[in-house]
Amino acid sequence: MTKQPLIQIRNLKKSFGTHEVLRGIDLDLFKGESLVIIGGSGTGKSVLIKCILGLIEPDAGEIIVNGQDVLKAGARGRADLMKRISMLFQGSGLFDSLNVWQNIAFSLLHNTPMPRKDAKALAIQKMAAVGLGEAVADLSPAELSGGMKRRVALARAIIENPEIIFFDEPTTGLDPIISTVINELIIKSVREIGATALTITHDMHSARQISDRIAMIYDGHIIWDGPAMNIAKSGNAYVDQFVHGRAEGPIDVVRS
Amino acid sequence: MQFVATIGAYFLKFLATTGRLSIFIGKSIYEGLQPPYYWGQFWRQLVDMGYYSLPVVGLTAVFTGMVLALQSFTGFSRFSAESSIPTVVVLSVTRELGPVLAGLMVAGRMGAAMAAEIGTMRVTEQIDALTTLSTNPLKYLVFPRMLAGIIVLPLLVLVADIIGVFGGYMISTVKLGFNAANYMSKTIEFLEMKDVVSGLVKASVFGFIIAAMGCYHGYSSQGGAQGVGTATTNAVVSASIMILLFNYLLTAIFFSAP
Repeated sequence: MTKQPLIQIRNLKKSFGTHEVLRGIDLDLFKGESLVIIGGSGTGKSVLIKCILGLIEPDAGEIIVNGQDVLKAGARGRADLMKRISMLFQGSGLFDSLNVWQNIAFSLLHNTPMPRKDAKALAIQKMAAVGLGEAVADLSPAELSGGMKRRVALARAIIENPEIIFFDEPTTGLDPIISTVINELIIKSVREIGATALTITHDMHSARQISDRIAMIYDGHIIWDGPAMNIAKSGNAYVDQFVHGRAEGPIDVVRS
Repeated sequence: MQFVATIGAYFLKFLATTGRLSIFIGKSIYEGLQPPYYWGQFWRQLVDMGYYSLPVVGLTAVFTGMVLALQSFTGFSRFSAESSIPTVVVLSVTRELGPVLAGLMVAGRMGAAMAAEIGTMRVTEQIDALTTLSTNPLKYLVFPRMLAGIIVLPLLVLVADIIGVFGGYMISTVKLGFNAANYMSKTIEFLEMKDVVSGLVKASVFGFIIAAMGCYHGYSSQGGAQGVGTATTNAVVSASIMILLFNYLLTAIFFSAP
């Protein structure tokens, strides 16, 4: 019997004006796996993830999450779907007007709603899980370093034990040591709550570290999809050029 | 031919923006009326928009009242109509200057702040983050600001009316030699409830306009710092123009001759 994908994307297309970003993406994400989508800057990785989340309306195609078509779900249906999904944004996306623990416990305070005392206790528990001390709880996001912001964003992403977590360039802008720490925290957190993870990145070190499976997006299509261990011997000239970071190769380095 | 095409393009752009703005406002009100309600956000806006705008609105009102008394005196003394100054001051302040000047000052202060805050949230993915946290941004960010604008601006205008009239009273009694009791009785003599209420209704409409423009331009901002800057400018300019336009329309409704 074939395994049913948790997320199924079929022929997904999205253009901005005359610029076709996604030209027919087909992708499956299975329960419990960690899929990393790699690709150069501007290849539509973030657009893909935002289409799945309903933040961008695609022009055509199907996005089935847990058997439900996201694009036909309507506002309420999507909101219900969102309760099972969380996201760690590239720039962390922390709310400036709230302190650290209020950021982490945002959904508990506003949606559940949980008493503030209990929400704060749970937020501090999640902060400990991502290596942040209690002293940070009352600081504002502006007082944190880039690495600390990612940890706070990770704690916020996992506080309600979501089924699916999306990571958008989780290590961009961080030094190699902090990047490794964040990658390890992602692996640990995802395993602990048994979530399914979809990460987009162009950082090959991160991709190898956190993925079970890797897919590469280029020119609006998925051009390679396979186990992470096979990426070095993909047999695909585009993937080889990207993985080894070579300027010479079939990838058009100067894109219009 | 090119000229006509340019005018046509601008007109179409205007219609498209009007449509987007109407949908934005409609959706915000519809979503905002459904539970859950974000009272914390509403309260924060009430304080930011009301309490912290008091100094700027108060100063504007007191100097306006003072200048009005002074100018009226220099003008009215030419035909011995100085005794009308208390009436002119109170009617001008309550009907027009209080709501319009308070509206413009709050548009500059809060319209810009709303556009900048929401615009920054847009370009730093905080609005996307709200959506992924199952929170409707229109309900959480926009509706509380609109509601606060509707409620708080009439209160500010009431304060501006009192301070503006006091400014006129101060100049008239201290500098222009008016009798204090006589000035007060003249102030009240011709003042009708409609004069004050029309100003407060205008203020409510202006409060809504300021919040709607600030939120719309911030929410639609694109790009980085430049986009937020443009959104802030557009919010203040469009709110100011709409305040002046609606001031005329509301004045025509309230005070047009039968």
